[in-house]
Amino acid sequence: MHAILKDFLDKWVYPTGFTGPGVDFRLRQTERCLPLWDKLVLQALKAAETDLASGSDEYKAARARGGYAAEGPFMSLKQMSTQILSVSTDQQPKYIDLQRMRARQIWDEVKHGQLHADVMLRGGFIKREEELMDDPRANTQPKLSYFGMTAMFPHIHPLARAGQHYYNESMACLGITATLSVIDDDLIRHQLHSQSAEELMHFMEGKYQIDAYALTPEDQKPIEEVFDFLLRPWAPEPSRALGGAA
Amino acid sequence: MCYVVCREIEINAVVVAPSSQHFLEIDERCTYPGCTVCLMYCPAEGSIVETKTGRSMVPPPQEVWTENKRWPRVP
Amino acid sequence: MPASPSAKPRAALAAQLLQQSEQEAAVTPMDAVIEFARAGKFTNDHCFRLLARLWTLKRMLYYVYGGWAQGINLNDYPPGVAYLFGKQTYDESTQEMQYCDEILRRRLVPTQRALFAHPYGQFAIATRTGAYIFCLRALANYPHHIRIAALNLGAKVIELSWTERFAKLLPDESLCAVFHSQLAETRSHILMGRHQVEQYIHKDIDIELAKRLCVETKRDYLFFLEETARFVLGMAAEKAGEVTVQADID
Ligand code: SF4
Ligand SMILES: [Fe+2]
Ligand SMILES: [Fe+2]
Repeated sequence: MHAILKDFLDKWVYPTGFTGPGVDFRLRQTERCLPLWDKLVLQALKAAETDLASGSDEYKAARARGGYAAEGPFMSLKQMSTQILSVSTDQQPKYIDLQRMRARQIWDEVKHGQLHADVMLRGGFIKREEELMDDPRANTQPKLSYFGMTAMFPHIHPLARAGQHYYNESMACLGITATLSVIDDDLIRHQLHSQSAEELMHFMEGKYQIDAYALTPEDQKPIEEVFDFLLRPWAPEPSRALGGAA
Repeated sequence: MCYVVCREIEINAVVVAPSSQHFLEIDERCTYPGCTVCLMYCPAEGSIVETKTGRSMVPPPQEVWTENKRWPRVP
Repeated sequence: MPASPSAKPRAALAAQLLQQSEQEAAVTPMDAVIEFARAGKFTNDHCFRLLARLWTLKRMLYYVYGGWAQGINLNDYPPGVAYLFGKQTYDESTQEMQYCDEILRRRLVPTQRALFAHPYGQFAIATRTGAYIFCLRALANYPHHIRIAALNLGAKVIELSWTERFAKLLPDESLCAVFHSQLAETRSHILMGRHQVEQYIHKDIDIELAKRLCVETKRDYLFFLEETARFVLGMAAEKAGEVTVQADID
């Protein structure tokens, strides 16, 4: 196991505030995630090294466009608002904190879109953010099925999103750490540093939702099915922003 | 995450501060070191500090997440 | 009139909506609450009623903002519009939490769960609160810049006005602080509303729609305030004779 993953596990995954079936369920799912998290770290390191060795600045723009496509303002508004709507009014006493977390995440992720736009602007790749909106590379979501799945959660279960939070937001954290360990470019580092605490927050939300709320087989099932999906061999690749190909 | 966690365990020690920045504040209702549960869900390294010792509680030191410090959840 | 109004009529529209809303904001049912509090008659129970009704409205806004956000597609607007709306969504959520926290801090209920269960914190469909939330939810049927005109240059102007007065005039200092802390956010929503009306209202029909929807939204908001003030002060709800009967419209 790579040291970056081990450090992440020791600091953020294993410390546990609750006991009970939610925690047990999470730790079982964690075992399933480990090989892919490890692979992600290696991929991100390799991609960062390749980018550095490319001898051109184009990789910065490619990363920023990829990031913008995944978490630009429009994409973020759409994706995170589905979560707000996944709690019915009669469930609000139980799950209002999911809506609060998602309202906050809308704001986090639209800011992340701005960070990618900043790389493009300050790197001299564009003059105005609006130019990005004419570029299909900055607006093609990395995997439609992943985002479409988020959009289906209001029709599935308010906790289903916890699977994406746990599995994918952790990848964002790992990808950021791995990339920062290689790339020395100020623009890229600024973008990654600026969003790393918030990405960790999103991962923690997944961890918390599972530990605190996923207590019965009925509540665990929709989350487990999301893990099943994400862990398929054809599962979504990490975004170009974090060293993936998409 | 402290505000979400603390409300869920019904201690309610974390409040939105009445200032324009709306920071989160932990008030006197916090029962630390009796309770340490939110520390395990805080993502901001170094952001919660033990007043007595000055040491950072994030990420949580080993001894705060032992079995007897954890909050039991039953369905 | 030209088919595509130039910047001037758009700025004029924003100014006109703002000015009308400011006029309507000068006197609202919330004044009665302030007078009552300044007369030293505000008990814990009045305070609880006030905070609980305001909280109930804010917690229902998740459904409004969620619905609106679903209706903003890529390249409908420049990215700034999505960015500002993300901030507004987060601000409303923060204010919702703040009301809940203040109720808990004052030990008016022991827990958040108990607040949801308490009669003061109920959302009921057949109420003016319901009508206002449904009105906002229906604005999802219109382009984003038009609904922002109706909310941010309409009801929010009225909200800012009574919040300013509460922040200044309530005798309870910590209550003042709560309202005072919301002013910067609400003001910024109004400013961004003005900006969007000036930037994106391009057609004559949009001008006309913005005016009409703003009027209806403010009316429903004022009725929400009326219901809230009556509830806080323990007055009877509106009587049947006070409303006019309308035929079905769909
Ligand atoms: S340590 Fe416990 S009581 Fe204190 S803020 Fe965290 S969750 Fe609340
Ligand atoms: Fe992000
Ligand atoms: Fe994220």
